[in-house]
Amino acid sequence: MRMREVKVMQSVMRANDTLASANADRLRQAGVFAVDMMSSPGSGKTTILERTLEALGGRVGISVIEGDVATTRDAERVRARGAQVVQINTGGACHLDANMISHALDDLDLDGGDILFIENVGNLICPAGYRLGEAERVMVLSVTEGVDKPEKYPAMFRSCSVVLVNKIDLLEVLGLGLEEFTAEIAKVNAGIQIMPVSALTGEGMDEWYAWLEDGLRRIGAAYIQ
Amino acid sequence: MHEFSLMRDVIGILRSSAVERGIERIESIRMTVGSLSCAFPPALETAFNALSQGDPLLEKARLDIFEQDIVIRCESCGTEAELGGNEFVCRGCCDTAVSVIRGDELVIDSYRGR
Repeated sequence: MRMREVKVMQSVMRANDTLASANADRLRQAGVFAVDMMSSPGSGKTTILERTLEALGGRVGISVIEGDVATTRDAERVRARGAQVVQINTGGACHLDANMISHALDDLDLDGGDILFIENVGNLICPAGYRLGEAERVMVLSVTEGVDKPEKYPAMFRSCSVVLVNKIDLLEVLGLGLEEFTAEIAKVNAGIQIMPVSALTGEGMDEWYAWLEDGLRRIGAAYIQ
Repeated sequence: MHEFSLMRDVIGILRSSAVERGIERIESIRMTVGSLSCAFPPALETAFNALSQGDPLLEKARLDIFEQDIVIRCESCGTEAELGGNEFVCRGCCDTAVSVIRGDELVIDSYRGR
């Protein structure tokens, strides 16, 4: 048989992107504001969610999809504060994908006006490549990780609309200034909204809660009494 | 390690295309991998070598990866240029409102087979 050249021109991510769009439609139609939370391991994502549940849990429904390689430790922490939780254990996979989220959505009872947090696997690389159906992508950068992370992981910092710079209560101990972080972040993404916070002391968290409520109003307005 | 799962998807796409066209042996594959795509070309090659072993469609195939650098477009002055260094800033007017127009792709361009 003769040699043939076949043009494919297909993105490898197409199957995931198609499922992610379906998830996004489903969430939007349900009036649910979905936020993909990404960061390194240990940046404080779960603590931020715990604080958020304490602050907003009485007023809005909050659901969480927890992605971890192993254990249900994070799921137990947020469930204890009143969230409806689905745990995904990836068993080694380094990210969540749209198919996993599609199945997790089947197991959640979502009402209009709810916020859905998708806590991604702690990793600054692969999660940036997978759309899940989220309305917004948020990352957490804790100051103990150092100021070099934006330049080292540009895909992640480029793909998010908000970065929570967490553990600012430790800046003094580390001998670092907040402006060093904001300057480094701006180098790779000048348009990202930077929110300096301490999930431990609560400093700066009001801005985060207000941002969440704004997002919810945009998507779930029809459902909020 | 997600290059293995990406490569499984690549092979799935190639296999259905080859079956559709009656192609039994692929000799070369061309992909474009952007440096913002979160996939590392050497790891994709490793995954391809492992996954194509013993597969009559692919075991003789060569994988050619074109590594696409990041290209940004300035939203103020319209300059398009490769990223110089690590900073996402316009080379023309130094504005930081720029969008990535190339460099985040992960695409199977074409393959040759018989």
